[in-house]
Amino acid sequence: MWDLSAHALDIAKLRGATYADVRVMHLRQRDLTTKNGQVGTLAQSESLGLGIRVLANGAWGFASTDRLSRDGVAACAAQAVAIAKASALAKRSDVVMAPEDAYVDSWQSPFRKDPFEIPLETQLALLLAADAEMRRVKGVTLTETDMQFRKIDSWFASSIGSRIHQRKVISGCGVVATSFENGEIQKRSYPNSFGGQHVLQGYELIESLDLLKHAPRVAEEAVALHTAAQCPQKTGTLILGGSQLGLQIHESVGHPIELDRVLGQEANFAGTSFLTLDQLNKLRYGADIVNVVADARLEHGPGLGTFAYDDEGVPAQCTDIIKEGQFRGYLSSRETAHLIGLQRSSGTMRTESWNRLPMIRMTNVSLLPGTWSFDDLLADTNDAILMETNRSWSIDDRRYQFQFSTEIAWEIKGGKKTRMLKNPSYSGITTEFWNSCDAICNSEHWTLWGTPNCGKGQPMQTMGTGHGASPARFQNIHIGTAFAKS
Amino acid sequence: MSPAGKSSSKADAALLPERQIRKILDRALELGKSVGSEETEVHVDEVVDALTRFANNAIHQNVAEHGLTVSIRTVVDGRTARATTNRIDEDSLRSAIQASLSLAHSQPKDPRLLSLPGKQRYRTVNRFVKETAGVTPEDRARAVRRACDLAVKRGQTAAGIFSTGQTQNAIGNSRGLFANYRETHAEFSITMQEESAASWAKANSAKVSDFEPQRLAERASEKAHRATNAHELPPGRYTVVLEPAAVLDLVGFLFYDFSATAVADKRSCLNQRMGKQVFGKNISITDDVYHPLQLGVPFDGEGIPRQRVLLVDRGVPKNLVYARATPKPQRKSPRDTDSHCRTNMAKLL
Repeated sequence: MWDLSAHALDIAKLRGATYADVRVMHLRQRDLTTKNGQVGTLAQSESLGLGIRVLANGAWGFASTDRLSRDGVAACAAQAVAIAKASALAKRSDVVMAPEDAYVDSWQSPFRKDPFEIPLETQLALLLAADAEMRRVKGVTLTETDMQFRKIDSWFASSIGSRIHQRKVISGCGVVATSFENGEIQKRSYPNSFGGQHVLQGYELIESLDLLKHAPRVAEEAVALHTAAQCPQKTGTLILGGSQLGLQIHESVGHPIELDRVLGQEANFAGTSFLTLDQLNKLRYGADIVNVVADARLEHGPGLGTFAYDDEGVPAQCTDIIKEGQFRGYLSSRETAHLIGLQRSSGTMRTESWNRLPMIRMTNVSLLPGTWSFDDLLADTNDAILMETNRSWSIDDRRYQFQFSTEIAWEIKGGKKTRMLKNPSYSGITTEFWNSCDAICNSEHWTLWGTPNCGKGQPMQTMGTGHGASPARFQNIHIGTAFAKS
Repeated sequence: MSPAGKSSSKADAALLPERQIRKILDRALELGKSVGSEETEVHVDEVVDALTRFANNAIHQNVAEHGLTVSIRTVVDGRTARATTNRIDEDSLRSAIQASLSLAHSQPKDPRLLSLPGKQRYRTVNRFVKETAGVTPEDRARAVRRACDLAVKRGQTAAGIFSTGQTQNAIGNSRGLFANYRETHAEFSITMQEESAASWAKANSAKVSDFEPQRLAERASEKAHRATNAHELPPGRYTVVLEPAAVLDLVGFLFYDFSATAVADKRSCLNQRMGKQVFGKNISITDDVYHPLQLGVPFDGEGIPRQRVLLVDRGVPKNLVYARATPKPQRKSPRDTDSHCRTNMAKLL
């Protein structure tokens, strides 16, 4: 792979590139699903190719190919330079990047059990057994399970001399029970909705989830929701479970801190950000107890945003985003870091595949744990709604006003979890919401959740991001009913 | 727009000729047979795409891709599975077939599994426009430059995309079915911002000269300017006029609900609403991949020709789109399907 990369870099330089970086990527994936006790999807795929990004005449060009002969790679590199020169026809200034050192390194994400070495029969048997457990519950009308495994090798080389090989193994799994009754759909998922939990681990993740224990519970809850009371409409105290808080962080912290959005580069598609440059180090983003970091380092955990180097060769870092409530940092690239006067990129350029341009993406954007045990937090709460597991999300293109609904809620009265509530939702304004946080559970309740389906960019790229969170409490929140029959 | 071939830079790469696609496909079918697959289905999908992206009145991303994937579904003893690769050498194709067989063998027998369909007859659909395939990076850059210059002149900020591309989707199976579809596509979209106001315009077509980027830029620019003195309305009920693109966004949320599978799974908003007056009487919705303004592959993931389906007739949901394997209580005749491989999102008008 290094020979091909070096050849691409040579051709790019020969054609007039002043900077170039090359990614050869080999992606392998296995997908298993079941539905109502039958095998749904059983598929395996692999993709191998090369993408080259160049600066020529002060502008960017990118081309990719799956023709990995020397001629194919040379043509691709020449095409990237030609595209960069065309870009220069519509530039306002030359691209300048924050400085970065060259690195020669190899890294592999740790895992104990290679999921591709586990027999398919074993994997499928587990899903079918979990599916059967859910179908045993009367009133369940649809059962679904899924497993997904990915192994990604990338070979990065740049014209400043970096040569970095990284291998990541990613596993994911989840189950969902749906119940339709009297025109109403209720569903429960485990361990999370929209595909379950996904992390940078091997098959040990699947074994740790104990699907067979939780499958009957989610099925029973899906059916019980039909007879539960509607979530009340009121302004009051809200406690969010960890996975829903993870998505809240993703939407109302992770996206607005993307510096390309802040600088208007996503204005036509993903949107912009309320976090304009004048807010940095000045905005009171949240309460004093709110601390959020963007941490791609392995010591933060095996998240979907964990790596050793980003896709422009910058080492993984931990960046303060919110420190003691104060807005402290953005997610940046070498180019955007230079544009706002930072000395260095925060290392967040990531690409979905060899045929996509790296762009600023969340790494692991996490709310650091607080001090409360969950039991103490409940005991300290007289009247609140506890919401768990995301069902829908909506947020404006500046990431300032939002509305979420969850699969289930529980009424908290006098420090105790009481009756189940259905169709819960809540809404708010990002900064008001985070400033209303008055309790965060401790590290015993903290999970690094994986969001495998973050879409951004044109052409669209889907990226996995990590969000560490433990349950937390918020005051004076608009709580409502997501669905009511007319 | 410069005519193809008159720019100094080269157009994007060309799609492989059909005979080469067929050769890859036939080879995969032969290999399938040789390793014991009772039935084999092969997709060969090729993409040549380019996208020029601009923001802050300048190009900031400019990309091109060329890729080809071969996706193989084997059937053995009432079991089926799929393996996909983008490597087309003999060893890689053989590995993909073996992976597919191995996946298939690992599951229980499926008594509902249908045999692959035989040869089909297809309507001719010609949406490959040489003019679009001949667009160069310089063509796109010049069009973007003109739009951005307009924004600068009017004190506005432009962001958007100009993309052009070609795709080829071929399917063949061991029962003699073969279909290949090629199309070109072009899209320009632009957001113009002036102070706190913004406006958007977009067009797409198989034929790049069907729209004029500069006219779209001017329209977005004028709308943004008119919106600079907008004032807030109190919450309430108003008559709202939506542009066609906004209507599509709303209708788009319904796409998957017209799938017979979604209704069978009881997760469609049309559950218990088929045949009832759900929408206004002035609303009719048709799924018609053959409409002259439409893009998309005219056959489904099993090679079944797509049909024109009246989904909503004067406000009443009348029909759904079906796969061959859709459970019988809902099944009428095979229409659109998304079974096993390609998701053919309903094309709605």
